[in-house]
Amino acid sequence: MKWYHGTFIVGTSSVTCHTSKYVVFNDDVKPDEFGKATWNQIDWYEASTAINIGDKFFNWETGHIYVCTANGKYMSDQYARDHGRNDQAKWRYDRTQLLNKPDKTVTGLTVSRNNGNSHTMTAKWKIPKNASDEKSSKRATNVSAYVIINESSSTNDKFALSTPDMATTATLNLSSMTAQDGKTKYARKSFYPLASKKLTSVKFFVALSNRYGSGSSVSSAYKFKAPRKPTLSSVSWNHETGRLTCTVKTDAGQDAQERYDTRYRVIVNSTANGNSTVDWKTSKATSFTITYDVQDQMQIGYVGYVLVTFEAYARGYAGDSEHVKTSFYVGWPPKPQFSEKTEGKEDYIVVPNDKDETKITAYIKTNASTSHPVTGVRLQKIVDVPYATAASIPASAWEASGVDTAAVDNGSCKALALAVEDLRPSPGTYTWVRIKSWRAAEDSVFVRYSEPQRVKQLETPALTAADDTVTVYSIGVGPDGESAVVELAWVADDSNACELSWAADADTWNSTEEPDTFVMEDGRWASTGSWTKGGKTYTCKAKVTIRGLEEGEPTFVRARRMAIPADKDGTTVYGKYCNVSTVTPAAPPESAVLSAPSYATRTKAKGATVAVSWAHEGGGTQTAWSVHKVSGASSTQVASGRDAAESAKLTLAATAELFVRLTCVGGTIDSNTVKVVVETDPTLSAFMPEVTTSQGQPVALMVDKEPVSYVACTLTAQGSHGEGPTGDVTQVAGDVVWTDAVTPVWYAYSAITNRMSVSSSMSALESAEDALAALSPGDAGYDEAAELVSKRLAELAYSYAYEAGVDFTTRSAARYAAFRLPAGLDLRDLATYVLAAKAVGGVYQQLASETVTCETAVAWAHQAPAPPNTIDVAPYDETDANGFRELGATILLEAPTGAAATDTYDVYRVRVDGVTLVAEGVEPGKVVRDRYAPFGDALLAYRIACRTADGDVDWLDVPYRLDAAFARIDWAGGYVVLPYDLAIDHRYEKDFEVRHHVGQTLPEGYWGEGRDRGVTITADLVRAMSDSDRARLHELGTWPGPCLVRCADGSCFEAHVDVGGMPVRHDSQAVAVSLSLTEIAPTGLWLAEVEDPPEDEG
Amino acid sequence: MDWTRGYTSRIRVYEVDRRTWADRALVAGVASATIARDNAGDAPLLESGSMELDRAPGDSFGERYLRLAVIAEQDGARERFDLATLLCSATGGTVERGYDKASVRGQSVLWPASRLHVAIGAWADAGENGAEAAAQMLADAIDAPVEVEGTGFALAARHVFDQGASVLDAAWALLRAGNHDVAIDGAGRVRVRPVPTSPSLELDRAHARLLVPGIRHQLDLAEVPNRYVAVEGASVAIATNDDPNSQTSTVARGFVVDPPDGIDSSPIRVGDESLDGYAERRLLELSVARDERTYSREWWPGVHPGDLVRASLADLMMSGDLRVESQSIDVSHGISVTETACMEVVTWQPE
Repeated sequence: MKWYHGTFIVGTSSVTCHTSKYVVFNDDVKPDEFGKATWNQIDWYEASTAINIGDKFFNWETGHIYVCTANGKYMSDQYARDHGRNDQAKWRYDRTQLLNKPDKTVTGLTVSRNNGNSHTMTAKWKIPKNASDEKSSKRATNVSAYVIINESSSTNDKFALSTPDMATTATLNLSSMTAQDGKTKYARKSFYPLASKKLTSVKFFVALSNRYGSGSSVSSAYKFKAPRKPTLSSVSWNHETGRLTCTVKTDAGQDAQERYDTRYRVIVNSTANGNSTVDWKTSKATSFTITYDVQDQMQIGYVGYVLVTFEAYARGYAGDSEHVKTSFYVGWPPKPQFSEKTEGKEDYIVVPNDKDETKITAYIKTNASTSHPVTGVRLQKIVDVPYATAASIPASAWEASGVDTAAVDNGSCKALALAVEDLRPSPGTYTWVRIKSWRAAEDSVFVRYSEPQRVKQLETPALTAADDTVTVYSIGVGPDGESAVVELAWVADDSNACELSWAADADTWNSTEEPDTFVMEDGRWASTGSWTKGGKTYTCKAKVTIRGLEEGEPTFVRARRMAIPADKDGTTVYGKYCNVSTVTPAAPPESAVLSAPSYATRTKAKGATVAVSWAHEGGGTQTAWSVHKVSGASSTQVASGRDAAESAKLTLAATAELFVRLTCVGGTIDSNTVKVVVETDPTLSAFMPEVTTSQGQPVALMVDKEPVSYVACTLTAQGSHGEGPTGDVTQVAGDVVWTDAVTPVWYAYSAITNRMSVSSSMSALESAEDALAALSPGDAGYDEAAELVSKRLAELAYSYAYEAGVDFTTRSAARYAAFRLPAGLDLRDLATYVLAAKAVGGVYQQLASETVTCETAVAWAHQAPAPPNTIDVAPYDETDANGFRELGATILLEAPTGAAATDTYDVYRVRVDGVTLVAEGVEPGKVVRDRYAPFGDALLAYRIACRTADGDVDWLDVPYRLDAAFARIDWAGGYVVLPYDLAIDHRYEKDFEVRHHVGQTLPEGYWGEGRDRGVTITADLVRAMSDSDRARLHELGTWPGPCLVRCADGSCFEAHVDVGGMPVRHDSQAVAVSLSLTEIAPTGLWLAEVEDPPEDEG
Repeated sequence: MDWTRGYTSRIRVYEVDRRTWADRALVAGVASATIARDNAGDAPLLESGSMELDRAPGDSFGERYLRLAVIAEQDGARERFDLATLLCSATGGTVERGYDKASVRGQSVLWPASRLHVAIGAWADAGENGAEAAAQMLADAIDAPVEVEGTGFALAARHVFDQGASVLDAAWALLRAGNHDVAIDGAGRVRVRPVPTSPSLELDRAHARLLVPGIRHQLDLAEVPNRYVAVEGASVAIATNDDPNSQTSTVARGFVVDPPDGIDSSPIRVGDESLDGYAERRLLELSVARDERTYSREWWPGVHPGDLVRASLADLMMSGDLRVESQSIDVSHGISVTETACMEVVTWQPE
């Protein structure tokens, strides 16, 4: 560098003027035209500003530059540089060496394109040596280049390139090109995809030249291709937000495959909402993400789906790349199901037989499909649950039991496995598994479950401990008095032990305290068999001693069944407690006393029922008892119980000696022995012959056995009707004639030595009775005579039995007795009667025969004779010295023909108003004096009835006449006669009622047997002559007793008399007397007297 | 006797011999007598009575059985029948005009059984004849003879009598289990018998004349239960009438009606009856409503509480079988009986 003026400082590659503002020029001329060229002002620079020559003059191939100040005062020397040389610039000006045009053009022309979004292309070449050699005459002084695009011939598609200083490279900026026509400008937007014009090729042309000509070379066409297709990532689904994401990646537009941008879109096919498409969008990024939200389109149910397709392609100079797509189904997975391992067999779950195999295998179908893919499956389980059926499993059960994490697979999964140990349920519980299938994520809502499947192969029966199967069979004290011996009995069940518990308080089991317990495993403790208690049969029993108790303190014991699990971690199951039993440790019992009846009745049909009772002292509470019957040296149990009963009801067929064996908590003891005599009810037969006399009719009895305490006898009338002296005599059927409990003396068959006929026996009896009658108690031989009578009665009874045809065997085993009916029974001739008899015996009269009956008829052997019609009645009306007037009658009762010694007479007054007995049982031949004979103008009579000792009667009415025209009233101590103006008024009123009945117009009449009779008597007294009569009337008016009334009309009756009126008027001699009478039943005060007959004067 | 017609009646009172159970002595001085018969309650005594007796002042009456008999006479024929036999005791009286008008209370011959209690823990065993067992219990407790009509029935299970139960309670409990009852005839004889199913009196047109006009009727369905609960040990049986065709069912009434006694904790099963069967049988028995008739009628022999009266008098609302429940017998002019009887209206007949 050569400086022409020191104002400028010129460096190797820069120039600076420090003194003033300066300007740079260049001439850009050929060296040989230097000085002629037009100066080109390049720019002004401030002082001290350095100009980088390389920057400002890079196109400067050759020429000169000058700098000067602003005012032009100072001008630098020219500065020249030879392009392509980096060493110190030097001046080139050698016109003489250029003689010809370059003879060949550049070599090694290559074209490249900057990658990425760069729009520049670079052509490189080499300048041949003869063109660059400074000493060559064909040295090229200039290199030029241009390009054409799309191999077009249009100048609009031809673009010059800058090639300063013999450059060996040229750059084409595709985004900023100006065509050679100088008008047409190109930018990136001029080409596809920004315009329709595509850029398919670029061809470079490079030429070397000097002032003598040029040579050119051309590159091969640089072909542009469509960009590479983008790549789509797999679709990602955020199930919570509902957003689908797909990442698009492209290259940067490498080599000839320029990529200007990338287009993409989303296509949606929904079973619920139809099809839709999101418009194309563009991105220039080499990697970007496409999103699509499906949240609002999820109302598709389990069957529907949303198909989302992402589509993209790239665009560049040369056109579009291939389209790429990726799709994604949004929806629920199908419902999974368990699958048969073997077709036709429901072997959904296979549990290994080999214990070394540790997993079960569940065979499944995911049912995955294109539109319903399955992201994952898992086997879920719940273990130890009480749900026997799928329907009973609550949804929460699965959650609560957790999810198994061991088996995850995808939609193509055919089988899942779980560890056996994780699945094995506790006894009595269940394990269920189900398939969980999901889309998106396991914790999303897009989850489906299969039907649960029970893993039955792993189940074991529940541990059960039955209720009410165990009982405290017995409880007693131990021999040391401080222990209890407990026998438990139970029914074998699925449990395996008994828990015995005891406490000092019966409420312990219901308190906050725990009883003492002892576990008795069946295997160690149980004995098998059959035991019965309380009507229940037990099959196992065990006996255990509880030690350490306090003597005298009650201990309460209960038991329950329990099931102890084989697994130590298992839960023990208990049954309910049995009832509380208690024991008080005690010493052995001291005594036991059995009470039983000495006698018991046994009917023939069944055994005797005997109630026995017992008591004991010492030994604590009784827990069991048994009643035994002594049988020689041994005994037989007849009743027993396992309780504290102190009585029992036994059935004994025969006499037995009994004792009771008591088991108390303190031990066992036998009671005393009691003999119970079992008696059988006797069988009674009764025989009663025809009754011919009421004076001791014999009745024969026969029983099969003794003792007989008495024979209850009842003689009942069968009904009879007759006529007696006072009217109809009826004995109604059912009337009891006689009843009594007789106690005859019984004789066994063997004691009856005189087996005679009835008549002979009767005669013998009567003889014996006569002999006895001749004696009095205390007389010598009286007892023997009495015994003989008894024996004769028994013989008579036997005779009856014999003649009745009683079987000999029965007869010979029987006992006999007879008795006579009491004399004077009200038996009627020709009537029938039934004797009912029942033998009662035994110590407590607990034995009784059936009631036997026998019917008998009455036929009196002696009939009542008719009274002789010579009997006469002698009436009289006499007044004694005291003025007592008597109107009476005497009757001499002559003996009738054929009379027996015991026949007697009865005498009746036959009045106009009835018949009255006035004398009874009068011996024939006696005189009857009736001092109260009826009188008056009526037909009067005495009825003379002859009556036998049996009661048979015949009678005769003997009329008489006793005139009197007054009324007379007798009472104890007095009488009054009413003679004047007598009027008698009889009134009767009967016991009667009428009742109307349904459907009847007239009522029915109902009578009682009573009647009322009222009589009114009025009469006059003569006042002046009747002082005594009126005094008697006053006496009568106050007399508190019965009166006998006789009237002139023949009536005669006993009555209560009221003096109703006796007005005494002193202006009149007549005293009107009015009496009111009420008849009463005869009192017996006015009977006849019996007198001896007057001595025969003759 | 034609009991539809009037008759003359004569009243007789006899003392009864305890050993022979027959008439012993005629008791004089009976002024009036009334008899009441009733089988209401769990253990009815069945009859009672009262009398007024004229006695000499100071005479000791004590306690004795008296038999009230009636001799009816009609068309010249006489017929005796026993009206009642009662355990009588003088409870007081009025002395006037030389005699003591004593009030005599008559108790049922069953009365001693109502005052004698069964032994604690006494039982009747399964298989035992319930009728005979009841009869034997009564026979052991009372003086009157006891007879069993029919063959009785077998008990299905052991029955332990309630503590404190009288012999009468126990006997009735057994008998009701077997559909048996007790009747006492006029002579005081106790008869254990099946509940009668044939009538003792037929009130047809010919016998309508026995009735006195004025028949009261009453029907009460409210007391008919529709559920029966029996408890035996730990077992419970519940019988329910939920038959829509039954007017007393839970369906028809809309609510549950238990028997007045509530839960039956002492069931007595018969035959091979189960507890369920027992509960159903009891409910069936109790599902019979009482259609009650009260009427007065003339005497008809052999009609006692528990007997059936079969009526066919629709115009009198007397139609069907009536179960006699109570009788009041007035002995004066003839014998007038005021009777309450019930028709059994079956409210439930399960298929």
